Amino acid sequence: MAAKSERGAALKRWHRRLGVLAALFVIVLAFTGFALNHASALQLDRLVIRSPQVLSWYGIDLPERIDGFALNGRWLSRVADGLFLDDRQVATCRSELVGAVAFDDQLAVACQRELLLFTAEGLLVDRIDPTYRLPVPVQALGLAQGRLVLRVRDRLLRVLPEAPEFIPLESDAVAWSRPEPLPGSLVETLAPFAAGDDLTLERLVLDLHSGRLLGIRGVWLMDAVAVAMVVLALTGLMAWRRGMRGMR
Amino acid sequence: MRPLVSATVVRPRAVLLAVLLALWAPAGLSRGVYLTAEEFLAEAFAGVEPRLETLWLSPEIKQRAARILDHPPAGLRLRFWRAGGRTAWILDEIGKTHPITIGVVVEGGAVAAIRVLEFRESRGDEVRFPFFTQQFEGVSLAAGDTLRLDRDIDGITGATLSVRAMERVARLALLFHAEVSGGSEE
Repeated sequence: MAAKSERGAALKRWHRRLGVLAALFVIVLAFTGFALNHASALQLDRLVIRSPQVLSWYGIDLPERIDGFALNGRWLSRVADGLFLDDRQVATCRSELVGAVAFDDQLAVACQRELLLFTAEGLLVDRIDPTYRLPVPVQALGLAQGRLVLRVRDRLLRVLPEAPEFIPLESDAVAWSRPEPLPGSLVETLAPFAAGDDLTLERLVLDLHSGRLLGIRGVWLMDAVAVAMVVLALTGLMAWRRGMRGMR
Repeated sequence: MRPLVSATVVRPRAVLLAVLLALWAPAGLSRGVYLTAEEFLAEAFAGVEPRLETLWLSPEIKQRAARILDHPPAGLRLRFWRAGGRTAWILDEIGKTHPITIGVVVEGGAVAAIRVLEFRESRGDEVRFPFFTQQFEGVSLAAGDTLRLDRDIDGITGATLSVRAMERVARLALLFHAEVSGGSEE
């Protein structure tokens, strides 16, 4: 009888210890599980992580230098697929940025496979790509007597953006736009965008839930927590059964 | 309504295999260029050379487009092709996170054809198959100013966001077509 009572006390003691140990993880699992169940409603899949600290957990190194083009005291740059006018994303560009110029109260930006026109305030006016006759790959963008000029496959082409038309040009008096390093403060602001848009809050919560945030050891830890929960359920049931017997 | 599947014999093993293959399909397999702009235009205008034209988006048309898209359309002007009463539009719309390039041919105020030119999402490319795109043929904007289609489009399980993107682009092309046709075909 005394042995049974001792076993019962030990069971409760271990149940309590295991419960305390697992408590924090169970809370994390419950909250992250709840969030994942409602990920779409909470728009977790649309919230992109930009924190340099969190990005570093995923081994994502942020660039220390970003090149861009100076436009009347402002900077035009491309980080991942985003085109930024200073620190504001104004459009996307899916190929490498090769030039940007200011002309006639407008801004023109050339990527290898796209030519984009903006108002002076950075509002997108038009996007011209090979679908609309743009010869590619564009190598450089410049101005000749205030008119847009592209260099494509080492040929010079004058751009009539309205049509759009690209007319061969025989001139070497082109002021080509050239990339320069962005100021340090702007690099700091834009660098987190280099990770792209794939790391969302949903991914972070999922990796917290599965333990993957801590690598393979985190997965084992969460496996151990799952086993602990099963043990807790069993020891809890056993303790309850003993209690019921004691009452009879 | 046109039946989506003409065969009447259901083969459970084939269905199970299709489901398993769909579940197994690795992420990223859906991405790709399925039709070039040239191919789309050749198909849309069948040998007739279309004229490239420009539509300037007035504040009013931008506002109506934003009602369809749930976000403002990019750009102040966009280009389209026209031959006779037929217009063709190549528009990008985001499914989940990446833009899908969709071509729409409109004639007489109704969709004549819709095609996926380039798909960049990791899943949901079933919207490019004829069993889905054929549903749009003959669809117009409903009467009034609801900017909705006059017919329901059947969705695809697992491709909900791509289906919505296709519907939005179809509505947008119909709106733009009405605008460049002087609203006479609405």
